[in-house]
Amino acid sequence: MNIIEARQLNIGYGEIPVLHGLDFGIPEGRITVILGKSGSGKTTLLKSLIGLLPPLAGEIRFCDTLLDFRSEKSLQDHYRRIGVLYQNAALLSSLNLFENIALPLRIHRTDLREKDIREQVEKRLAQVGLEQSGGKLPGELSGGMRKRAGLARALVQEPKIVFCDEPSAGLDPITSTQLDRLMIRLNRETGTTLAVVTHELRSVEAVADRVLVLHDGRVHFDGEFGELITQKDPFIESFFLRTT
Amino acid sequence: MIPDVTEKSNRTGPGRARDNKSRDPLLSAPEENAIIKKIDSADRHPVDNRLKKTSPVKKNEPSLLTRLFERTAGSAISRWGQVKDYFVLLSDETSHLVQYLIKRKGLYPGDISRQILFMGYQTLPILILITLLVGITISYTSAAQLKLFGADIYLADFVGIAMIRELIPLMTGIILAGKVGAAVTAEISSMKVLEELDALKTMGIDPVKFLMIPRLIAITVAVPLLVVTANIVGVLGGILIGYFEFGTPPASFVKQMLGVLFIKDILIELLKTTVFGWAVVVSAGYKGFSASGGTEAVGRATTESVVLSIALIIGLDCVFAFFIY
Repeated sequence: MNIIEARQLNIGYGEIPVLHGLDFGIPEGRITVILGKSGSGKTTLLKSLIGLLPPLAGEIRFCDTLLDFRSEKSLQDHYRRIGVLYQNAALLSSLNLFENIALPLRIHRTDLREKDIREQVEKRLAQVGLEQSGGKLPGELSGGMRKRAGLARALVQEPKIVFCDEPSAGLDPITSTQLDRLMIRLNRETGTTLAVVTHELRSVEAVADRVLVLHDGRVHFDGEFGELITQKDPFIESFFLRTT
Repeated sequence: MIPDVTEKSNRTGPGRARDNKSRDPLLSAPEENAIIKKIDSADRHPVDNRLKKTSPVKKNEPSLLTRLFERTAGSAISRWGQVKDYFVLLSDETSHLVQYLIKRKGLYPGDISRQILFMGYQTLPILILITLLVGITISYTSAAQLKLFGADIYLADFVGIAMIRELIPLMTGIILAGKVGAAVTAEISSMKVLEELDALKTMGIDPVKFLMIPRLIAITVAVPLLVVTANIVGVLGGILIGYFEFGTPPASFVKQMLGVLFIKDILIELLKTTVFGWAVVVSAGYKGFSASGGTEAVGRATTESVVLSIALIIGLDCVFAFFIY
């Protein structure tokens, strides 16, 4: 079953579409990688899927419910069911790690007692291996630690899907591999669906169950990772050759 | 510009062949040559040649007047869009503020008191310094004139009216624009550049409510504190000059000043300064949220925020003067 369905989706800025007629689904409980060259519209697509950029045409369905960009309620419902790991982690620099992760709970779950919030945040921090760093400010953390903290914050509201925008960007290969392993572990242990935007082939190979390749503003390939690597397609072959 | 037909007609090769094909079949060769010569001579007219050298203007390019009109209209439309956006943000903030005052939820705990501390307590040192110096300067400058007419005692009236009715609200507003406004814009625009505003949205947190409501509440609480302190310090400057320049005892100075000042003046001063404070916070938020681009956008937005706030403060002061006095 697909957790997200996109139908005839045109996405762009102003009146100019960057992506045209996209039809695809993101299956529940699996890791889908959105792959493409720089400027292919991966982040633009992600912005639309997370409810920040209204599509110019077409529709996005989340758990079979239409995402209505004109309705604040529809967007708020959508935001409560997703988690996002941003490229730079986007942690609030004025709050320490603990408070960053606790933030959504403090705002939305006013019924929770301080003890419950602490319990949930500590659980998430332990999940990403940052149990000792809760008191640190984002500026005191390394890039990899910030990404892991961003992932912990994305998970704290127990979302149905976590979107990751270029999780390996700016990380060394070792830290990047650790983050990939963390994403796989989260998926396998908790069954959380992940949609990962990247152009790093190392990450694709490590985490992808399914792959969506964007090229020339369209979905160029949509299928299992195993099928992708056996494709006799000039673009896919050149992409793999050029970027490995 | 008239095309150089002669050159074309002398061409050889494939180009020439195309010209032959497109020749008007109704014209004979001598007639055609005559027309070509006529056009050629027109093209070589001295005035035309001068124009050819000096003016590279193409035939279909709009005139200077049209371009000026287009540019002015474009700029006016863009400014109108900005004014609309400003008022949309203002109405958003008002609606969130009302919602918050009713429901009392949706803000980060402790944020309001942190902002009060920043906008009020941490602004006090610079405000005290500036109001004291301005109080001294105004008193000293006016004292020299009053001395000429033997009207020494009216220094207290002058300081009271000038400082309390006009200078303290204006100075407090400008200090808030430079300190608070710049900080708020820099913070929000940095958050925008670093995707923190997007992160708030996707956590289901409205950035306008989350960031602006604590600041609006804080400025409303901080302004009276700042105004009262500025009043005391500003008048103190006048008392010092009155005492050292004219030998006026401080008690007489205060008594004389209170004779010309009424509660209404203090209330108007408080209202004016609070409105200036709101203008600073709303403008700072507007410039912060509308920042776009990389890190240079932060600097640009901060400068624009301070300029806009100061312009608004002076404009609003003018409106107050018109309606009140």
